Amino acid sequence: MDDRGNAARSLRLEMRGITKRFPGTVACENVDFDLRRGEIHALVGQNGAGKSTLIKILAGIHARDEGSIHVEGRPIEHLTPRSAHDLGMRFIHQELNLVPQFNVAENIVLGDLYPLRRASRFIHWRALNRKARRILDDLSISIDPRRPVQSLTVAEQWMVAIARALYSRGSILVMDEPTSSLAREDVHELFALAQSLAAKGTSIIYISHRLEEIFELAERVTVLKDGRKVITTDIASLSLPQLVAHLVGGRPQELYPTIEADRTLGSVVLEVDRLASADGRLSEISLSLRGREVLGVTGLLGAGHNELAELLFGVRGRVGSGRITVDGKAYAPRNARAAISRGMALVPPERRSQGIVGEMSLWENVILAHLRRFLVDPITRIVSRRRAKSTTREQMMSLQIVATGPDQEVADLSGGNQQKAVLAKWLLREPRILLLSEPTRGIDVSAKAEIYGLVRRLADAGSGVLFVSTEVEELAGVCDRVLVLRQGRMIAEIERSALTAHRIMEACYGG
Amino acid sequence: MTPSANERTSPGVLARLSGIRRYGIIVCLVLLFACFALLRPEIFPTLGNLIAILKQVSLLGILAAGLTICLALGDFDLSVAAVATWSGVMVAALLPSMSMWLAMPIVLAMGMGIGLVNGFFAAVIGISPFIVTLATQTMLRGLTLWYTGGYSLYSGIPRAFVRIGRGTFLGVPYLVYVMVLVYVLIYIAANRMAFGKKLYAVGGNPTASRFSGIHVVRVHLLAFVISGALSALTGILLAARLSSGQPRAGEGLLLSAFAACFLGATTFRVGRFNILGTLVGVLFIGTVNNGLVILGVPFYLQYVIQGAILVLAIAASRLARSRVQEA
Amino acid sequence: MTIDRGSGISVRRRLEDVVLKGGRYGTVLGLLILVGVFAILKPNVFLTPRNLLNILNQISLLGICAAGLTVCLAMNEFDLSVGAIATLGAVLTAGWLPSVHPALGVPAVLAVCCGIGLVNGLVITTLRVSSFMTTLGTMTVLTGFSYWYTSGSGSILYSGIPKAFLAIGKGSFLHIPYMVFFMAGTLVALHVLLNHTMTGRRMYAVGGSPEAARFGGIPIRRLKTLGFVLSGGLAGLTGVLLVARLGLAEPTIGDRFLFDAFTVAFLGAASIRVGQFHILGTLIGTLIMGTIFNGFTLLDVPYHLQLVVQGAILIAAVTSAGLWQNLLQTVRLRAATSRRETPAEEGHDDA
Repeated sequence: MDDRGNAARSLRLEMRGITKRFPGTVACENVDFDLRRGEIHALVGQNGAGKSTLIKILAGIHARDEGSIHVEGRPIEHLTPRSAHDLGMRFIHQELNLVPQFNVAENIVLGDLYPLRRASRFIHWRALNRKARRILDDLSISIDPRRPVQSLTVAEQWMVAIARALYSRGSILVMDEPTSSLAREDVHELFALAQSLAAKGTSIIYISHRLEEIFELAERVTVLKDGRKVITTDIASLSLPQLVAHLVGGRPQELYPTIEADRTLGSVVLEVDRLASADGRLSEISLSLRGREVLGVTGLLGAGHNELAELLFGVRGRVGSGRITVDGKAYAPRNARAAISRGMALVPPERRSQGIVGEMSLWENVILAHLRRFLVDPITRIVSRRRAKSTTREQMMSLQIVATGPDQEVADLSGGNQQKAVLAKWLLREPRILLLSEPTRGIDVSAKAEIYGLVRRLADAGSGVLFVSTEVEELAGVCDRVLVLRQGRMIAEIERSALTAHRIMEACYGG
Repeated sequence: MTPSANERTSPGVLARLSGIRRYGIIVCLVLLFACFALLRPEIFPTLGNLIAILKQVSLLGILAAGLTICLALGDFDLSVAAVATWSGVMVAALLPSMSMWLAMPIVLAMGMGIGLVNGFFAAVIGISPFIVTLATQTMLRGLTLWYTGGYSLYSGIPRAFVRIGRGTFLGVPYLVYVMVLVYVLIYIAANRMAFGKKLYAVGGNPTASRFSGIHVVRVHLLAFVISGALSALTGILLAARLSSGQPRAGEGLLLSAFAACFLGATTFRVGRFNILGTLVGVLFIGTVNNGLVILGVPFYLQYVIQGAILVLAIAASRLARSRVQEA
Repeated sequence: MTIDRGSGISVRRRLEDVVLKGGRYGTVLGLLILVGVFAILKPNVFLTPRNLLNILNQISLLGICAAGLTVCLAMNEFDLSVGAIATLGAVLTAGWLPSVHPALGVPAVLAVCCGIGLVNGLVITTLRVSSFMTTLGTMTVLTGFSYWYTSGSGSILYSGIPKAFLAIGKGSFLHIPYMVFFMAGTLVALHVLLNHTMTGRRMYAVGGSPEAARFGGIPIRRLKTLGFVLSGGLAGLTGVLLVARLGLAEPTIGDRFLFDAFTVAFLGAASIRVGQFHILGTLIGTLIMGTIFNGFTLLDVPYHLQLVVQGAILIAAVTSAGLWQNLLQTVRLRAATSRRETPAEEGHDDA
């Protein structure tokens, strides 16, 4: 990376003393944040630290209570989504916000002026495609602008979203957790794109929980904690443990629980023999999972590891060939109910859309998979609130779920606590096999550590845990063994003794 | 492709504790009541009139209760009124030739069957319930017209049957007791029973519910069957009250039922369709109607005022809520 | 319910391809079948140019009303007041034209109806009441108004309507009724709006992804309000033309347009651009309705049976469209995960 650490470089964005209060809480207190021209500036902080509030203020969705904002040196009094857009700010979120019915070209031009024919003022479609093509070429993206956006992969959709930001002459790009749903190789492509944008003068605010990536991509980093700015500094002058320390306060924290060597494992709970999915995305998958074991599964995008957990649980895809046995008896994945009756449980990757019912309370979510246990009697089928709530309180203590009480709406909890609620739900069923699919996605550091501890505790209690993830660091830290998939096939199995993040990465790439 | 049943933004904890926002419609109701009471103090606030209000809304109430269950899932059941009309006609057609204790269950079963058909296309095949029930209600209207030829069926209706629709016990009409019973049962089902948990879980997040082992399709089917059953019950009681099966009986009920449910979704459990809220909505509509009639307002003006009050009431409660939002 | 269905057997794949290409045209196929059936059952009557023009004439008003509704639906908004606005348009026209020249009266009526649409749009976008409830309220208010307005004359207005105006309803140019021209003009104009103007494309963006539209700086409120204005104005036009055709107005005259317009628009969303509300689809839906109505009338089938058939066709159309969409999703899912089967694998015929 060139040396761009010139502090005298012009400030594109300057936020000073930003304060925002909500009833009962202060989301941001006296936060400073600035952004240089052509800079990639990472913004990190745990959930509730104030990142999203700060960004929403920038986007014109919330109005700041105190503080000043200057864009290119000009003070900005009143910010609305429209004026933020006019000032050159572009926001790309997890949900991407592309219009599914449109093709790539129309999505790129969304919100901007379409090229019109001179006489009729109708849309000049060919000119539109040409312009889109030009932008895509500039960014070295090889996607046909006429393709419907629904047919693109997630990584390609991110590219389109970035192309859109650039087309509309965005000068400040805010990327919110871009890599959560991407696999390694796409992440590198994305980073290359971001860096070329920065080289051309675009300023990027990069928000992510993946600390390792920040070291790879960003120039400076700002850490927020409890609504206040902790530090803004050059990445080069910081180490990962120091960064973690700033994030959570206190001494650098051990993220991963210690795993005793030579643990005794239970009997085989899940045996998969040459499993192939009907659509061909998985083939020749063989594994055996024992009780008290945490088995990791990973791979690059398209490797099929994401589908494995959901295939086994019966909620995605169909088995083409192969045999699965659970506790020695044959098992055919049909649907979630069948899987649950065999003692399986799934923590799905998309927490908000697959894991929790946001509008319901904590206790209602916790008992959801095991309503039968909480009936006053089987005839009236009335739920015993008293028992449900007391059980929930037990879970809250045991899993350290932070909430005002069992009645709190789950949507109001932080991501980490929501995930713990999902775990609590399954714990009530005492599953033999726990399938975890990207369990720490989008969760802040301290909650991650707690979840790792929980996973090990669960394993120690007797369950077999299948841990599917693309974060190689956590796999190395939490699992007993790791299976590596590539294009639907198993290519490596890494035992505890050789288990490092580096080794896993190597194996993913076929080394 | 269905209209958004859930209009709210997520309110902060404090906003939900603030009483005014949640009970906005109830406040409106009380205010309205006070207005009418002041304008016609000798007629309006009397016990007899209050009972009359309850009687007038009892059938609307039963219909709206079933609709609430469907709406909790986000399923718009447009066929409730048509099922009621059809059921009224059917029961009137059957009564001359059999005991009413046989005719009524048969018609109820018919209503449940229609609900099952609705649910099948909506939940098993996966078509938007709006369209399914739009189609179903069109077909039912056609069938009703075909069967009755446009005429009312009034011969052979036993007195005992009519007494159900018009009789009273301790001064309160049977219809009101039925409505109260229905609301109690539906309340228990939706708020205390396991079914209710499943209902709101599926309504809130069908995927998460499915992953948790809930039989999503079955929940939808059950909701439509309940709606169909209560619609049929409404139709039966309507026929009892009118002492005839009329092919145009249920017409005004559809939109009023939706209005009551939507009004109800602005109170108690804000943004969610709930049975107590629907009850308030039903009472609200009934009070407005009753008051306007007592004031001697000509019926077309009633329409105007009803419509205006409806929109104003909902708008007001949304405004009151949005003042404290920002999450 | 949308569980990824795999497919490893090639015959099934070929079938899927056929269904894929053909599924979009399911309703068109249905329309052709209907035409065929009626042509066979009433050989010398149905397929005559006169009768076909008759069909177009009969559906022209529904087409205009449904086209306006389609614009709202494209933005995920429901306008339940179209029937009541049509009634209002009719009632006001019949009420004003006896004393006001049509060249003044008709635009005035249209302005009022557009104004109602404006009110709908403003309440929905600024007060954020759902479109369902707002238009429900508007509909109730307008129904009451129409009843009141006609109450003085025993509920029907029919006297004093200028003959020249009535001539529009019955007249034709080159054997094609004026009504059909009105419908054609409306459909073409709205089609161009939605597909070739920025405003229209932005409307689709609002419908397709409201968040994308918001963050893209698209003026959502303005567009939605415009949608309701169009819907209201065209419903009003429907009412005006109703008077031209029937020579009278009464307070239930517009009622059937509500359900019919929705039916037709949803039929349209099951055609060609499946899952999207669009003008061409609405036209197809309208043609289907008109064909049924016409054919059944020729066959002396009573109105109520038409209703039954209408409902059945709606369900059939949407069912097949839904199944088709599932199929499409499956195929797209397969394509999107960068795993392409080599042509060699398709070789074996497992039939």
